[in-house]
Amino acid sequence: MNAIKADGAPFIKSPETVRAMMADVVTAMIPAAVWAVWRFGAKALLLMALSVSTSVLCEGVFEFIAKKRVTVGDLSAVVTGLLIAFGLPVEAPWYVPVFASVFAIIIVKCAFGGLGANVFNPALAGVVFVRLCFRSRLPYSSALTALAVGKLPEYSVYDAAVGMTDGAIGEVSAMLLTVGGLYLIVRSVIDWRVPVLFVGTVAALSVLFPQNAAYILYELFSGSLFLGAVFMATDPTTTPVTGVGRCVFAVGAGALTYVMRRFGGDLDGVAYAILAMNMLSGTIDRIAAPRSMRSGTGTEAAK
Amino acid sequence: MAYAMHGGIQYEYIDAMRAARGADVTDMAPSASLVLTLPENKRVLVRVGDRVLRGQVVAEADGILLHTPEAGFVSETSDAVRIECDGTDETAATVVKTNKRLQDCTREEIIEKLRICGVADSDGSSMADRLESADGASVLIAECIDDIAAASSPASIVNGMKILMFALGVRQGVIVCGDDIIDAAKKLSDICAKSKLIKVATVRAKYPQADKKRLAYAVTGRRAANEFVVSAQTCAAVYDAFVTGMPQTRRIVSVTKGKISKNIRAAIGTSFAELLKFAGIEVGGGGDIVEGGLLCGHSVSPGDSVGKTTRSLAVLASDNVYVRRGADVCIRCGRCVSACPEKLLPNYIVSYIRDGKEHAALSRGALDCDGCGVCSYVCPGGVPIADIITGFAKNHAREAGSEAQNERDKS
Ligand code: SF4
Ligand code: SF4
Repeated sequence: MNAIKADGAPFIKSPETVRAMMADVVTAMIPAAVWAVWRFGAKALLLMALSVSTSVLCEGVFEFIAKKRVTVGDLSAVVTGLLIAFGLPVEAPWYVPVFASVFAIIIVKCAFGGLGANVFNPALAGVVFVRLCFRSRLPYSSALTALAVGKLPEYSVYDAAVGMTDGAIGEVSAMLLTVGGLYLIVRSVIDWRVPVLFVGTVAALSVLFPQNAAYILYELFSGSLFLGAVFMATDPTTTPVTGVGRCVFAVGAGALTYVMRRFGGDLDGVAYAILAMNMLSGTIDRIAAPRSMRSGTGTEAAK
Repeated sequence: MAYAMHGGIQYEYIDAMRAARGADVTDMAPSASLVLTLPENKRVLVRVGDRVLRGQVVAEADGILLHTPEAGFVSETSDAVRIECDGTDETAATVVKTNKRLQDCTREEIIEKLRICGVADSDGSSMADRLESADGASVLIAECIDDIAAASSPASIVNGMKILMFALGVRQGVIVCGDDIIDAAKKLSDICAKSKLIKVATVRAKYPQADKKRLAYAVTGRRAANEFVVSAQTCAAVYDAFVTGMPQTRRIVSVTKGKISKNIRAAIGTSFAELLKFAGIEVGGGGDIVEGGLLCGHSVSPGDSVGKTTRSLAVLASDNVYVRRGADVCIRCGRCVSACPEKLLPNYIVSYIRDGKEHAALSRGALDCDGCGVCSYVCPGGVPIADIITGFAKNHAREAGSEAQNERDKS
């Protein structure tokens, strides 16, 4: 009879868009970004600009060449770019964010089918990739470095929490990352349980099996734990879709982080822990599917 | 007492509905001509030119008797029975009061009364048939979430429930209200305080919650509960039918446009155009009227008319119509999962359907989807999820049907 009928439910316009969601994520990153510039200087800004512009450019060019719809307007490449810069030390040479962004967008994101289809978190994979390629150019020191050799850092726990420490430019201020996380929770962009369970699991394991009781708070506030818990483990695409599944993901990532920090070769296990859990997201969804209201299906694995 | 229900969303439309719930019910005088719409499956009992009296049976449709709300002349009987009202109030002789007390009635008498009065529930099912075949229910649940009748006639609802409980032989009744009609809920509990058999419970006002299975689940905690769920407005109609003998010829309809919202008690057969005019709501170009809720309702035209199941009409503002965006990409945000009241994984079902993995889609409960549309509404990726799943289910039913046909042809 008319256009509306043909379309079926729903009739009312939906206010939700990917762009609005990603804009919220960018907003949530602003406090930590400002802190990075204040603490590390204009070089931090340059790193962010390089990775964001490379990410956006790569996505646009790839989609153009592949004759796909150009989706840079959804701002997801901006988020990826910013997160890449957040994971780099200020000493990183200019080509590092560029390489990381190209790898993240072309290999990790677009080659897997673009937004929504990638298995691994592009930003994390990009950062890990350049860390492996350019290890000597990427000096890293944080409280974790001191703790690794059995010393307490020179600054207080308070400084560690606020961000008066060293580390990758976006990871140092646990406090401002938490502010961003709270914003995302209030805007219902992320599920509050994920960062809480992630950090909570690491904290609980550190308390239960402490290396040295004096280290615990330093360990929590240093490295990329908060960055990972707030912005990486909450990435929609690479984490489970059910509430239960997300909790499993967060606890798993927290436990792996703890294990890798204690026994792993690298100083900080957060990135590897999340990437490892990324691989399990599909499986977790399959296992943690809710039982449907009517027929109770969902428990059996879909073939 | 409050029950929790899974999924659903709160959205702007509910604000307007909330206004409607607080508002009084206005009676609308019957229009000069009433159109009683008939389904395919019908038996017309009058001829063009006949004079009919208020409350007289004019047709039987889907096993439910249809009566004329007013006296007048029949001017059309093909797809619909059209009555030109003559303004007199001569009532049919079949309309008789019940003089007996409820306790003295038999179950059969009650069922017969409801059949004669053509009482239908809000999903169109015949109350008489349902009572007859009711089996194993231990609780009567009156759904008062989407229903504004509570505000206008709480006593009728409670009394109607008592009649139904008596006929069903159940000793327990629950009225479930949305938590946005606390005043009405309070009135209802005051009335119920005396009876002890009926209690009032609330659920968070969200869309969609009126579904019978899900309500039974919320109240009993059992998935396959076969409790007797009926809408509050139907309870009131049961009471009216029982006491006055007047058939079901009126509906309370809430009409909404943007922030304007009114409740109108209109004669069945009133055209939507007249109803909206009465409410003072303007209709734009054709096809922007939705019956039954903006998410899962269906589009109607101004010429259609109020039927026994009409509950609400909404006129869409042209800038607020759901549009398919170009995007259509799932970012796995999981919003559809937490919104789905059927506890499905809509995003997975859609991706299985799109990949042609029919079996996987079915084993994920694709056929359990009731097309409520909240998943599409919350999806930031602009995936028309509900359309895809309901389309798949329809296809599947058709194929299953033709397969069964083939089997039969072979043998
Ligand atoms: S339309 Fe179907 S899949 Fe979507 S929310 Fe409603 S019941 Fe769930
Ligand atoms: S709401 Fe849309 S984007 Fe989010 S998981 Fe569901 S289908 Fe995917």
